Order: sequence, then C-alpha cells, then structure tokens
Amino acid sequence: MLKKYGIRKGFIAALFLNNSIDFISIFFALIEIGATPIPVNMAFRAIELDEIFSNADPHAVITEKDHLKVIMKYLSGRIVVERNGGNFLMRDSGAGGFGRGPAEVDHSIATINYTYRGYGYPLGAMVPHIQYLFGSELLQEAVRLDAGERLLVVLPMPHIFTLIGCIFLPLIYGITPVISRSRNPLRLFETVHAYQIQNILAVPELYELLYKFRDSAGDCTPLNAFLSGGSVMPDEMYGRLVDEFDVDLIHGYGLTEFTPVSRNIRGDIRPGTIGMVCDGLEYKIDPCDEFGFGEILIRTENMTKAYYRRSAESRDVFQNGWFRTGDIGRVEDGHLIFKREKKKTRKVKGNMVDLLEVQRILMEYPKMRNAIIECNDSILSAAVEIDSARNFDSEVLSIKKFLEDRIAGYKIPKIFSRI
Amino acid sequence: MKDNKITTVDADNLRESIIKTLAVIARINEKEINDSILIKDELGIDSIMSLEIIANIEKRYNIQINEEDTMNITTVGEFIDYVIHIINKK
Repeated sequence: MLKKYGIRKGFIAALFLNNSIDFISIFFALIEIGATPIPVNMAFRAIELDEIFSNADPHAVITEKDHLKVIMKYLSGRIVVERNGGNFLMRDSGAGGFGRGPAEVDHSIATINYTYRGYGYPLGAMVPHIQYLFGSELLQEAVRLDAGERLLVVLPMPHIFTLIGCIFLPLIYGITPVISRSRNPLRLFETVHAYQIQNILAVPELYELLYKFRDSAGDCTPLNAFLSGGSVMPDEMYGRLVDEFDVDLIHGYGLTEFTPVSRNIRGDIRPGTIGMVCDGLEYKIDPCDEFGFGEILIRTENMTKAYYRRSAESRDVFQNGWFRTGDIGRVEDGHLIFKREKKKTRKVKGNMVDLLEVQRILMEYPKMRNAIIECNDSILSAAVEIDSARNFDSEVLSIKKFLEDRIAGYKIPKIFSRI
Repeated sequence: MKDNKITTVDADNLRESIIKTLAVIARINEKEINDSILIKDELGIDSIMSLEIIANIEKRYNIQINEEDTMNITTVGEFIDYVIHIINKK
C-alpha cells in the first residue's frame, strides 16, 4: 500500500498515529521498504512541528484523519496518507513528494526520533536498527518475560521506551502486547482482568494513579511485573505498589539516544536506584564531585551517534564515541543513582520539557519582556515580566490560550507569577 | 421515562460533589470554582489529573465516561452538564 502511494527507499515519513496495530504495521512496513519513519509525539504543536518539518522535511506524512487540522499547514508537496477508522487513503496534497530524491540517511538508521537536550528546539536522534535490537535484549535480560505472557501497552508508541518495551521486545521474545485505548485506571483494571495481563509498561505517574484506585483493582493475581521508566520513581511509591499489587517493580533509566542505560534486574532490585548499568555499555561519571556525582556518559557501538542535520549539537553531545547524557548521577555497587538533569530539560509526568523552548515561545507573546521557567516537583512555573496594565489573572488566561496551539499541552506552565 | 433521572436537588448535590472532586485534585479552594471556570487553563488540570477526575466520578455514580467525549469540554459547568447527561442516559 505504501509503495502504491509512492513511498520509496530513502524517503522519510512522519507518523502521526494513535496506538494501534496499524501503527506497528506501518512502522515496520516503512522500515521494510527502506524508508525512515519519524514517530512523532501527537501532543506536539506549532513550535515543535515547525522545527521537525523544517529539519527533517519528510517526503510523506501518515496521519490520523482527526489530526489533520493540527498538521495541515505542513502537508503541501508531501505524500499524505490518512487513517480513518482503520482504513487508509491517499490525500491529494499537490506535488506529493514524487519529484524529490531520497534523504541522506544511512542505511544503518532505523528511525529519526525527536528529543530534547536543552537547546530550545527538538533534535532528531538517528536511532540505528541495532539500538532497537540491543536495547530489547538488555531489557529482556532484566524483566525476563516468558513467551506467551501478555504486556499491557498504555504509553504512546512514539516514545522510545514504548517502541523498545512494547513493540520490539514482544516481537522478538514472543510476548503478546495488548493495546489499551484508555488510560483510565478503572478501564486498565478491566483490561487486566479481561485479557489476563501479566505485565504493564508505564511511567511512575500512571502507576501512582493505579495505586489511588487500588480498591477497584479486583483480583490482580495474574499481574507479575510493572516495568517502569520515563521519570523518577519515588521510594515511598515503590514500596506501596509492590505491597499492594504483589508485583516485581522493575524501574530503569534510558534516553532516546539509548534505552535502557540501566535497569533493575528481577531478583536484584534495589529501590532508590535506577538499576545496574547494562552489560555491554561502557560508562563513566565525568566530571565527578567529591561525593561521586557527575554527568553520566555512556558508550556502545549500538547507540545513536548523531542528530539529523544538526552537526554542531551532535559534536557537543557525542564526544570521542561517548554520549553525554546531560544527567547527573553516581554509581554505587554497579547500581546507578539518578540525581537530577544537568541539561535544561525536565521531566513532567514522564514527558520531557525543554525549559528554553518554553521560554522562547513565551517571549513571542505580545509585550512580553522577560520570562523565567522553572520546574519543581514536576510542576512547571513561569515568572513573567509583561508590559500590560491588564488584570494579571486575565493576562495569564490569555497567555495560556496563546500557548495552546503553539506548544504541547504538558509544556504549558501551571503556575504564573509576575517578576 | 426512567426512574433514575436526576432531580434538581440531586443535580445540586452532584454539582457540589464534582466541584469538591475538582478542588481536591487541582489543590484549589472549592469556593474559587464556579461553572464558568476553565478546567484546563484556570484549574491547571492536566491529562493524568483528568483521568483521576473521570475515574472518581465513574466510581461514585456507577457510570462510564468516554474520554474522547470530554475532549471538547472546557468549563466546569459543561463538565457537570455532561455528567448529568450521562447519568440520565443510564
């Protein structure tokens, strides 16, 4: 079908698809053709999309029909395939990318995944095929799922943790992914019962939500393991979840450029850590302070080595074969302890937020003179200086409205104050 | 006509109860919440919080809320009306 629509080897295709079997089919069909998928976060709006479309200039866009209104201005001259109720059809969008040659993407690269490093704009990590395979192997070494087990897929598929944990690992090791359309904790419990789910892969914030509704969980005997990543799992929550659901809670750490970097291993789980650094990865803490904390650097042949069409940023981040994670931590008995981000990004409920990007878009608001963005306890706040005599509450409402179409919803500061 | 249609008194209780739920989850004084308040922009309700609110209300009133139906709801009043509509449809 994709070939019929004109997608060829060397083409780049941006995917705007909800979690579905179709997502997985299209993803692998593109790779089979020799095209490069960009799995795009569906929450992205103008500021992120401007950068992705200008940086990657995809030949094709494969999108949910109801997402067209968000991406309409980027479609001209590209092959556009829309998904509507499980059916695909080609949309007339002018020249349709047919006259363009292939992109300069090495055949070792599987996908381009946009992530952040604190530069104020997203960077397209060129993720090699081997990273998906090696990452899946390292994750399976830790979680030790048995063929035939079922894994509940809750997180959006474009995330690297979902791609590896919920798509590649299941396909390689014979695990059955069960895709949930809802993240409502009551629906998730129903799905666990209906499909006899043994494992869930999610972020700590979703596990916390399951815990809050634990009295509606019913008989969760089938559940064996919670695979967790994406943000910090507080020790207290770890203990509560294990006690309540009687599962192995396997928490780990990874980045788009390589996942997993470290992970707790069944039978050797150490709460408060993000687990053992994976075998086959070299690591160092550099520079290291008197307490052993410093930036975590990793090296493996099997990781991302550059960002698409961003050579200066690539040189900053990938040095002499080492990937500077931009995160501060230390290693204790082979277990990694995460302290904080050194780079200007923060995790908000499992989502990465680039503080400079938020500041940049806020500065585009009329009469904005200064904006300082902070993140404490996963809550984003903005202190703003604005030339306006208007009531501040009304001004804040107007700022939020301004941001709504321009940036992903989770990046809109919750708290505003005047400088 | 079904017996489970809610009365004006029920509706007032329900309104009060939903506002209490919103206040707890948004960590805001319930007196500051009225029908015209914008759920996302003024209460700062994010996607995880909205899941918690929906699950809370589903449990309390033994109903099922379609998450997609709530996407276009912007104000507290619209949300309350929607919940009343779902209860009446039961």
